[in-house]
Amino acid sequence: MLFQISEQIVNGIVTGAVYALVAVGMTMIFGVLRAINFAHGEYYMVGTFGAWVAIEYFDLPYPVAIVAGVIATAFVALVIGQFVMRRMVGAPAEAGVLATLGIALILQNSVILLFGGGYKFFEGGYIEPVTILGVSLAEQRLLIIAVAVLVFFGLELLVTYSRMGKAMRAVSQNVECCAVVGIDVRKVVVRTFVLGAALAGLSGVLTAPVNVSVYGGMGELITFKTLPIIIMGGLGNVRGTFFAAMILGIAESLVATYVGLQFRDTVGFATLMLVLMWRPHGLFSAQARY
Amino acid sequence: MAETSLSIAGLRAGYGSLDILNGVDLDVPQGQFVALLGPNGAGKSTLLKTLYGMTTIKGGAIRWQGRDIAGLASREILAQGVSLVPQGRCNFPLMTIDENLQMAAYTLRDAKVKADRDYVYELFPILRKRRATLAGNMSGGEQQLLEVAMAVLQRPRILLVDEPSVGLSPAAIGIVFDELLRINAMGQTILLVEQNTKKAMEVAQRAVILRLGKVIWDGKPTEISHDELGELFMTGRMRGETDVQH
Repeated sequence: MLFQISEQIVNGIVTGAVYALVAVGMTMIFGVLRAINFAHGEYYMVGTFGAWVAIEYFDLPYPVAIVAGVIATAFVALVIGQFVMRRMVGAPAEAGVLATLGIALILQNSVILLFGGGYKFFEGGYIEPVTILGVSLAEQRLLIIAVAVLVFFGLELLVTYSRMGKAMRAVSQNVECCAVVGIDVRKVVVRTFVLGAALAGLSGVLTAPVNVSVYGGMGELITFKTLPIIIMGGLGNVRGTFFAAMILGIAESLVATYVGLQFRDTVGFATLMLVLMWRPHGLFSAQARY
Repeated sequence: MAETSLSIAGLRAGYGSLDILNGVDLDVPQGQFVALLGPNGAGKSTLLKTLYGMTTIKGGAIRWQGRDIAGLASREILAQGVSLVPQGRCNFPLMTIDENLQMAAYTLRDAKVKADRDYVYELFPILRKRRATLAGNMSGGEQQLLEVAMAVLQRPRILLVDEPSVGLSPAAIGIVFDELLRINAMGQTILLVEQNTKKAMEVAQRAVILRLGKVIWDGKPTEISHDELGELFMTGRMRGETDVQH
């Protein structure tokens, strides 16, 4: 019994790490743009497909496919950033909702048109099991946790000390003032967006060997998983997002095991409701934003 | 009189289709401390925003050090040595004083930035004392000083200051104006918009009165009494005058 719980918690941490990598981009984009990116899960899907193409069509090894998937996602995000996201600066909230929902449809259907709508098999990754503290899990899952921890550590440094990170915080705190001190808000928005999307892509590539199947609509569910996470984490808060993602990952894993698999996807919004009843601003206050 | 650095002629500008400025003419020589006064809606703040590229210009010219800057983006105008301290709070509340001052010099990437910051800390010791405090946790007066300091860090050749006294206690207003006087004494050209006419008339070398988007009076603060000023605000003309063109 105890063993099973610890196994489920470890699984939950892996799931949480996957969510965290996706959600952190969404929360950073919200920070600079004050808009929810409803297409965010699609970048997770684009990253996975990028890696799948690299392996299936070009016969590249998995580590190279990781890089290929992330670069492909960053490129797609750069194009969308230049043509769509930068125009959302100062636009009403509805514009952001409609534009990103539209992008989600376009990306999903483009991939389906290019590669077909069926499920594809993702070959690659490190699926040998290892045993740690009595829990046996695939190496790939350890890789996911390690990468997530590294990424969040890097983001903390970026946001705290780098010129770009400071500009991101500045945009999230006072857009008007950015114009006064000469910060190019649109440029900051596009860079933040590309970074956030690339991280979602990375998450997709890392998860693919665990999930095995790849398909055009795989990003949708991820978008709706990340939504409650970024709200719980305190919209725009990087550190808060990490902990909120872990909470959701572990809660999902426990519910799937002890309550029923069919309830797993309701955990996110159920947890969100409980959290908001207790702390209406999310788990982490705006003081800790970025 | 020193050479003219800012020269505005027949400037018409506003927001979208709404015209606020209806032909403003104004020359500001280097080193002068000018107070822009006038009733609500006269276009004082709009004039500053227009100089900083934040409104729609319909006509006229803005020459700054011999160059036409009308229609440039704010960032380009900033690069020309024009800095704005906007009305209301304009800082990054969740950043420390030190970080705010770093952000102020965002467009400057040379070695002097650090020395400039030390200089500003000397100018405003209160900021040095509280350099690790989040800007949003400081008093209104301290934040206003921070914003003036942020503008000074941009190495402006003219400082546009929009209603620094709003929301401040009388003591804090005194401190902010003393600091403005001090940097003016060091050669800083200042164009100040202020509702607190009494205070503005005390510090400025020249008063320019705007009404309905035009300059209606221009002279030394000592040349006009408080009552005459009120009359001008209300009617747009001096006592005894019967016809002033608008």
